[in-house]
Amino acid sequence: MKRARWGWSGSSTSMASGKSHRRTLWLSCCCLVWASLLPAHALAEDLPLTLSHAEFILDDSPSPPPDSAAWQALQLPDNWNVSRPQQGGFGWYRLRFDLPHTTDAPQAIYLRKLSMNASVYVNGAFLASGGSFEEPVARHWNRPLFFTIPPSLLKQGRNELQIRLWAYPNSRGGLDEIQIGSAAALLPHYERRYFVQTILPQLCNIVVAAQGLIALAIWARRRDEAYYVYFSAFALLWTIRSTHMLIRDIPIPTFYWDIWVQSSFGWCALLFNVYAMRYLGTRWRWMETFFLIYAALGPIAMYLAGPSKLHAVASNWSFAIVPLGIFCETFLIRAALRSRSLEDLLVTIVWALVIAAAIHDGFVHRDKLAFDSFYLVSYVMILLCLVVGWHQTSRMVRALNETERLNLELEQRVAQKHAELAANFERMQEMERQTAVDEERRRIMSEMHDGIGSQLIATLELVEHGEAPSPQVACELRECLDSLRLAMDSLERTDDDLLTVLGSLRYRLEGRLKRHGIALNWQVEDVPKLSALSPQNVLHILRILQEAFTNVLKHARAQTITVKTGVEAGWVFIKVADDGCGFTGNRVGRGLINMRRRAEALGATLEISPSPASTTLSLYLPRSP
Amino acid sequence: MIVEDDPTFFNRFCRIVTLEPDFELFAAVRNGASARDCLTRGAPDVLLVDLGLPDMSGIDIIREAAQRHPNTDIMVVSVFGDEEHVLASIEAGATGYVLKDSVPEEFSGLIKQMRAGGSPISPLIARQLLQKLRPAQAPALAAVPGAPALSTRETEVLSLLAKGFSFCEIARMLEISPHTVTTYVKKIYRKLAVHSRAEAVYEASQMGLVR
Repeated sequence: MKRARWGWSGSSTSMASGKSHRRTLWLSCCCLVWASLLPAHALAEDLPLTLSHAEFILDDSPSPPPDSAAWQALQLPDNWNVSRPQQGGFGWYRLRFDLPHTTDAPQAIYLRKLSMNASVYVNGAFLASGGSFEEPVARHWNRPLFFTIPPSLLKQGRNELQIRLWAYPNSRGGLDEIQIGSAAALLPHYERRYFVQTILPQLCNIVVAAQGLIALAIWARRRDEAYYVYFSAFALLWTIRSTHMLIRDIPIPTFYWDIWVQSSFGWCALLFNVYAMRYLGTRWRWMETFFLIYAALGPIAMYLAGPSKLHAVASNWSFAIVPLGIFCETFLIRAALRSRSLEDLLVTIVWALVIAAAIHDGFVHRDKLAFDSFYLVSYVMILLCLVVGWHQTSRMVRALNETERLNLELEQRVAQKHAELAANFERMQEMERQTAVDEERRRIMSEMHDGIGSQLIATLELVEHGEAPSPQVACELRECLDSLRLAMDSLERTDDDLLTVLGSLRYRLEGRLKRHGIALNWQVEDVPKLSALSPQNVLHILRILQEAFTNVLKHARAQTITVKTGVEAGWVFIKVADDGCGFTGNRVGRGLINMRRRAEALGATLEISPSPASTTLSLYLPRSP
Repeated sequence: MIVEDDPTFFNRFCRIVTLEPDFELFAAVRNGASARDCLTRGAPDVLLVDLGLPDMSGIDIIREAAQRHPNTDIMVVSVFGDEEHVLASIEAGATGYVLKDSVPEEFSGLIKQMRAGGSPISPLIARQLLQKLRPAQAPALAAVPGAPALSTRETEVLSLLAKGFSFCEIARMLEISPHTVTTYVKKIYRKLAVHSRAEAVYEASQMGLVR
């Protein structure tokens, strides 16, 4: 009984011992455990034979070489890097095995690990081929082969298996142990290995690609967070690169394909380093420049090395990136210690796993480990992407929570300010209202005092002294009434239309004019709006005109009064002309003084142009104050 | 018919009406209740109403009279002819108003004019009517749904009135008779009254008072 071996490789077993053996395949990083227990019977129909004794000959003939050729015995696995360094090309393996009896059950041959391509012959007859042997040769370095054997090809007793193998020099060409037996018993072994080597990396690839696309989408909307684009480039490049584990027929010559596969590995490592450093807030331009130069040097060096030395150069170039990864790891550890967050710690741990896997793969590449070892980095990468993805997600969730909290706070503050403003506004409005009321009160008081009040007192005096005849008293009182009405009219809305003001004036005064037998020639025309027709100003205008009319009525003995409006040199004018006996000019009464005072308050110009046969009063109003 | 609570003016109006040979006094009452009572009994040709009655607002009397007797000309008796009250009266259904201090000839002249189909108007009232009743050309500006539109002529007349032109001047400008101008005014008053009633009904139905 062979001891179970823990490790990255399947253990080699020997049929000759006839003992049971146990194989444990353990992939710690993916936490996937396959264990199988094979029964310990040496019956051909039950138990696959494991063939490890072989004979070999370097020969590029397309058909199996004869027995007379120089076959040399060897033990599988046969790694050409070890057994015949620098050697590439075709080689033939011959394996012999004994069958105690034939069977009708389908038999199969299972090649666990080979590189790069192989075809199989049974007892001299061609069985199957892994694909093209022409450049670029079908790639099976990471893929087991499984062929069913028609029962008719096998015979009782000694059988012979010939395998034609193509290997590239220094690229771990070779052949591992071969198993032969019932197809039903071998198929699960083949499928398991096929799953781990090709299906599982594909699944990992999908996750990594998705992470890369998400990071790219974030970066597209947040250009200032450039580290996302490095992560995205890393993840997407890794996805594309990882196809080399699955692809059988490559579109370009093997030499260039190898340069791409080997270089892109280093590029990914460098991109992740830049991402991690930048994410942690460290941005050393010299270091990034160095990375860029190093990244460019790799493929150039590989190209110059040529096919035979490519793998040695690539191996050294890639391995030199490991210290960089460790350097980056120290940054990650420091950040994790500082923040003490689980996410940072996980990134640190997984990055350490990546480095460990890369070192492991480096050893595999340098033939320090078993021939059939898996390359592990691909499996660890999914962990890295998941952890980084989680990291990004929790960062975003934190930001969202913070935003919501801030919004809430902001809303509260806005509401508070709003209430304060509203209160202020109300206070100010109240004050404004109060001011307006006060102003209006003052205006009405002065109007009562200077206008109607003094008129009434004068009339009262006339009546008390009994001097005036009642028609004169009536006339004075009507004047008082008119003044009062004009004061009321001045409070109406005017919409800055002067003609409305004049219209009311006419309406109020017309009765009186008619009684005096004076005709009114109304020649108003539309004038531009006046911007300052406040009640106060309206009253000023009304009073000036009222005074003018009163003067005409009292002194001019006119037949007609003409009222005209219009625009002259940017001023809006109102002209009141009569055809009476004229304004003598030497009588400067209180009325005239009041008119001038009111005109001044309006910012207007008052002109009185007397002539023997008529008087024209012109009031020029500014269009805006 | 006269509705007036102030004894001086009550007597004065009664005198004017009785002295005028063309007029006949239908009734003269001093408060709203009596006025209503009278209105149930018959339809006067002209109703003179003071707004400040002791028991109710003159507006209520106007409204009732306008609904009960559409052919009655309702005239508001106002101290100052202040526009707010006059306009409220027109909305209630009045088609004219007369100032308390107007001389007897003017007074009876106004009543005759109204019977002949015309109505007096001041520039300020014209202006406010222009704002209340939108011209037909600008239906989009109608403030209240269903607001009656003014015809082009009516709009023209109102805006000239608002500028202080007299009926005669407007008649000359528009080449119509002065009488037609006053008729326009009365029509416009009626439109406003109808509109106000429609509005009141609309509002009442909104408030659930009328079903």
